Amino acid sequence: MKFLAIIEATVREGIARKTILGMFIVSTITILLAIFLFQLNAIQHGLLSPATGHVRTGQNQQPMQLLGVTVLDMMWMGVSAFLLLISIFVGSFVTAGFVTSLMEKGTIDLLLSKPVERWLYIAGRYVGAVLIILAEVAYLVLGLWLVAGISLGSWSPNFLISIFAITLAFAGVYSLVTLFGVLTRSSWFAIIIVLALYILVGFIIPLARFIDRLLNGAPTEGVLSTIASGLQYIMPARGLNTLISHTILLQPVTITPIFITAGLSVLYLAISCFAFSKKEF
Amino acid sequence: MDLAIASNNIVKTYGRGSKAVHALRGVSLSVQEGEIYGLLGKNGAGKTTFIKCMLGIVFLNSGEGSLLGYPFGSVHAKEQLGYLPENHRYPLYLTGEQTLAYFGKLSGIPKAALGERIDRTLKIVGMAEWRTTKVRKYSKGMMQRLGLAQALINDPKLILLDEPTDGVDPVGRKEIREVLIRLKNEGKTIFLNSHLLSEVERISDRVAIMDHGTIVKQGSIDALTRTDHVYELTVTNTRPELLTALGSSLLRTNGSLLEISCETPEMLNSVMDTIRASGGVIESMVPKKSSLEDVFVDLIKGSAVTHD
Ligand SMILES: Nc1ncnc2c1ncn2[C@@H]1O[C@H](COP(=O)(O)OP(=O)(O)OP(=O)(O)O)[C@@H](O)[C@H]1O
Ligand SMILES: [Mg+2]
Repeated sequence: MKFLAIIEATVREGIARKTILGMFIVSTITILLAIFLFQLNAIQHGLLSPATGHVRTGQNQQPMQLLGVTVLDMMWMGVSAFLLLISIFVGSFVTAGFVTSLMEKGTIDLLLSKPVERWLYIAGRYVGAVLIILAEVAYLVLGLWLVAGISLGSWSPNFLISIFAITLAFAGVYSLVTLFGVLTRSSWFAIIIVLALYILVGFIIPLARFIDRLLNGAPTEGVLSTIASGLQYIMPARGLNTLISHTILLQPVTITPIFITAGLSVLYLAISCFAFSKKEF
Repeated sequence: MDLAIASNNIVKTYGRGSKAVHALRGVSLSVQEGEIYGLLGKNGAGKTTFIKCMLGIVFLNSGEGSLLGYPFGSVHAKEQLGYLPENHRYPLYLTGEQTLAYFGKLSGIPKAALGERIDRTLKIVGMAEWRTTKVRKYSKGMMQRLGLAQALINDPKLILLDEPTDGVDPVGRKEIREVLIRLKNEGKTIFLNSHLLSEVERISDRVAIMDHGTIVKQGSIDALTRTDHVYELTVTNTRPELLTALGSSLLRTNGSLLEISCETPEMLNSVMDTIRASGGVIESMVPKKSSLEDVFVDLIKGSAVTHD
C-alpha cells in the first residue's frame, strides 16, 4: 500500500511535469511518420521486393538480402537499436529528476516523518520511472509493429522482444542514474556521470583499443586496459542490443545479458537504497 | 504518567573539523504525555535540529532518546506521530485532499478509512472549502494549515510542530492555538518550536529555552516567569529621604511605583515599616512577574557571551 502510494506519486509527478505527455506525443509523431513512410511505393518496394521479406522457406522465392540478412530484418534491427539508444537517453533525462526531487528541502523532511522505511522511497521512485518507460516503449514499439504489419502485410513478432529488452536496458542504466542521483543529489550530475561512463565504455575505450591494435599489431595488456575491460562488465545494458538482433534474425540467443543487467540493476538499486538510508537531510 | 519524549545528552554536530557546527551540545529534556511543550530559542539555536534528531532525519553523534517509548527515528514511533516541518513543500499539482490522501497512505491508513480521515482533518484545520483547489493556488497561511492537516491525518498521539503559526494571520493564529488546545484536551502531546514567545506563553504547559545547542532553562511557564523576591509596591506620599533610606533594596522607581528586592519576608516587612515611618502610604503590593520575553532575553544575553 505504501509502496504503491510512492509509485503512484511518481507517475503523477511524471504526468504533472509533462514528461509522460511529451514522450507520448513524440512517440505518436513517430508512429504517424511510419504510417506515411510505409505508404510510399519506393519503400514498400525496397523492403518487400523481389520477394516478400519474411518468406524464408520458399526455395525459389529468396527475399532480397544484404550480407545474408533480409532488408526487412535489417530495418527492424536498425529501428530497435535506435529505439534502444533513444529510450535510454531520453528516458534517463526525463526521469532523473524523480530521485532528486524527493530529496528537496521541505519535501524530504515530511516524507521521513512518515512511518515508511527509507529505502522504499528510492525503490518506489525507481519502479515508477521504469513503469513509465515501459508504457512509453510498449506504445511506440507496438505502434510501429502494427503499422508495419498492416502496411507491408508482413509481421515479424520477434521485433516485440524490443519492448522487454529496451525497458530492461533502461532499468539498468537508470539504476546507475539513481545511484549517482542519491550520492550527488543533483539529477544533472547523475546524468552527466552516467553518460560519461557509457561514452567511455562504449566509444572511447573501443576506439583506443582499435588504435592500439593498429599501431602495435596486438592489443597491449596493462593496468589501464584491464580496468577498461573490467569496466564494461559492471555497466548495465550490455549485450541487450545483440539479444534483440539475434532474436529478430532467429539466431540462437544467449540470455546471459538479461541476467547480468538485471543483477547489476538490483545491485546498484540496493546500493542506492543503502546510501539513501544513511543520508542526513 | 509516561514520557512522550525523553532525551538524554543529545549531541549533534554538522560537518567536521574547522567547519563543524555544534548544533546540539548535550540536550536533555523530557515531555510528559498530554502536555504542550514549547521549545524556544533564537534563530540557529538548534530547535529544528532537535526535531530532526527525534525523527531520524539526521543522526546523533552521541546521547540517546525515545519517542513514545521507541528509540529516536523508529518507524513504530512515526506511526503515532505527526510532524509539521518548517519550510514544508507539497507537490503543487495536487489538490489539498490529494495531498492528504498521499500522506495518509504513507501513514498506513487503510483505504476504507482514508476518506473519512481526510474530511475530519480538513475540518479541524478549517480547510474544507479548499479541498479541491490545487496546492499551487494556496496562500502561505493555507499552506500552513495544510501542513498541520497532514501532521494530523493519522490521528497521532504526539504532534511535533516547527513554527506552526509561521505566516498565518492573527485570526488564523488564534484558530491554530485553539486547535492545539483542543488536541491537548483530547489527550495528545504537543511539542512545538517557536520564537513567538507570547504565543508559546499562552498555550504551553512547560517550556525549555535553548541557546547555542544547550537548554539554558526548563520548567513550567509559571515557574519561569516568577521572579523570586521582587515586589512591586504602589506608594503615595513618598519623600526623597525614603528613597535613600531604602538603599540597595530599591531596584527601580517609576512615579508611585517602587520595585523592591527582599530576600526574606522579614526584610519585606522592615521595608514596609520604613516606608510607613517616613509617612508613605502603601496602596498595593504584588510579587513581580516578568513576561516570558523578559526571561528569554535575559537568559540569552547571559549565555551568548560564553559560546560565540
Ligand atoms: N544541514 C546542516 N548542515 C550544517 N549546518 C546546519 C545544518 N542544519 C542546521 N545547521 C546549523 O545548525 C545550527 C542549528 O540550526 P537549526 O536549524 O536547528 O536552528 P533553529 O533553532 O531551528 O533556528 P530557526 O529558529 O532559525 O529555525 C545552525 O547554526 C545552523 O546553521
Ligand atoms: Mg528551525
